[in-house]
Amino acid sequence: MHPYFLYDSSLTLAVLLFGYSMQIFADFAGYSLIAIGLAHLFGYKLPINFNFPYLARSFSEFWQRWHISLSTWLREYLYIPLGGNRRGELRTYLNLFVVMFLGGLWHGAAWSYAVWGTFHGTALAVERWCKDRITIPTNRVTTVLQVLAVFSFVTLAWLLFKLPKFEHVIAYLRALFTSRAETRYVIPASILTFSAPVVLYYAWHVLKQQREAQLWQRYEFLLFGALLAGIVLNSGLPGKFIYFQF
Amino acid sequence: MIRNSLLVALALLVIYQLVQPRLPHRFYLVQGQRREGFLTAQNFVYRSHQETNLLLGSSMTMMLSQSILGPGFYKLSFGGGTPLTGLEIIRRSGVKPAVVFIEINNILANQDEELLKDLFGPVAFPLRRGLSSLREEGRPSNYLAGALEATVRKMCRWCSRPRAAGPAPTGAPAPEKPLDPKQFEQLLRIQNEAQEHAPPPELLHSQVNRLAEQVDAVSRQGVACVFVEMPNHPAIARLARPTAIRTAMEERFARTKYRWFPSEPSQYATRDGIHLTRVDADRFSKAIVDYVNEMNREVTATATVTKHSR
Repeated sequence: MHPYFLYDSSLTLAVLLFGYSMQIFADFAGYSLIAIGLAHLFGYKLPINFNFPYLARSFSEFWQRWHISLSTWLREYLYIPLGGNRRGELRTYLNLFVVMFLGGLWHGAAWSYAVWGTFHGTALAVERWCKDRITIPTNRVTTVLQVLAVFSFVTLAWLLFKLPKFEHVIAYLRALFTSRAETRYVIPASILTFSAPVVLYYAWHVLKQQREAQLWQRYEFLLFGALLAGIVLNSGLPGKFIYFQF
Repeated sequence: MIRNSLLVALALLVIYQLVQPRLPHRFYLVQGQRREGFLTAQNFVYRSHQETNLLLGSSMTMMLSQSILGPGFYKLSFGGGTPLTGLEIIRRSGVKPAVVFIEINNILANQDEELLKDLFGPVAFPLRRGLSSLREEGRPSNYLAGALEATVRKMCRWCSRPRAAGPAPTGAPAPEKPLDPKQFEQLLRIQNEAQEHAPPPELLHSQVNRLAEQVDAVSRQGVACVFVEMPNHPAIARLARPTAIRTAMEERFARTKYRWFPSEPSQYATRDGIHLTRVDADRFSKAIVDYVNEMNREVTATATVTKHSR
């Protein structure tokens, strides 16, 4: 496969990455919700698997919100048996690193997944080190910056899932920061259009947490109706879920 | 909540069905080659049209200029596709064109079953015939993306306005950018890697036979079939794969018995080794129009001779 993305502008590449972040969330969280909804029809209450992970303010919070079933399993069966945070500082960082490295390999026996796990393990360890030493004031500005920082890092790391070859990942990152190709607005426009439902989903969740929550909840049916109409009108052929390959 | 949501959805669907035909087409964006293929196929099947000449093939044929070909031509071609898909669509839709141009460059691919299934699905087909909002052309996301693209383009033009000169674009296509030689070499290398090996003989002959069945079926209905080898860069045209395809096609569809469109690869330039530059796509389109006009003159002359000989 030739990396045709080499001929795209930095803006297009950035939007493509953002779009993949939205796609992987919609794909994975979406089919988890389908499973939860279907089980509910039969009277079974399954726990939620995604809790708006892109609103996480830290990597540890991200892993409490993303693929909760896997992260819970990793904590119960790997992190805690390895000693968790009870064997001193250095051992805690090592445990975090090892657990995420193995969590990466859980997705497949490929270097890209191992590197992905390593990124997250390193991020968790560094974050733990910083948390023990630096206090960040909590206000709206710092919250937004933290959310953006975590989202950016997580999104960059998704590249390792999307591109099968490691050299393509490097080429993509290089092109992301150095490309001078002209932007074809078609691609960003399409990506942003299809990312809109995910963005709306998150925005709705944030609005519902405000003081006027009841007001928003009263008119929720309008949003659901519009989304349902959108699904019917924009439907295409069924594709494979991304996470089915794992 | 569920009932209200369903009612809202139904209301929106009805409103959209009424409003969609009136939406301005200037804010419309087909999102990618695959969706363009669906649009092409659906427009062919659902719209009544007067085209008597069809062009079947891949993205190479899609490069031809519709404005030069004129309203009598329809490009039933798909990116990465094969004329087998177009022939199957003709068969299933019952349309009977006068002339079908069959691109031979990409016959190794199988017909697009996914597209055919979507197009002729037992529920989708009649529903879409009645409700244009359910067709590819009616997708709200196409209008949203189009409006977004137009807005971003306007903003970027506004941001760079000291450098922008001249009047706003009139809608005519922007002049084609000159090819970057390094990029062209890289793209040529990619095509070289993709086409340097001959295909397995059993695959090639099976596809040629499949094509022959389809061609014979449309020919029996009085449709004139013309085989076209879309011009590639001479270095690509000489490679093992295109050579094997050309040889197999000429063996099965001898030039003495079947119509072949005359084209010489060295007369045309490509952007990437296989797709014509805009200028040469226009030239090729004109050549096709001239060929069809010549065919029509022959038919008229033959009919006149036949009439007089009675």
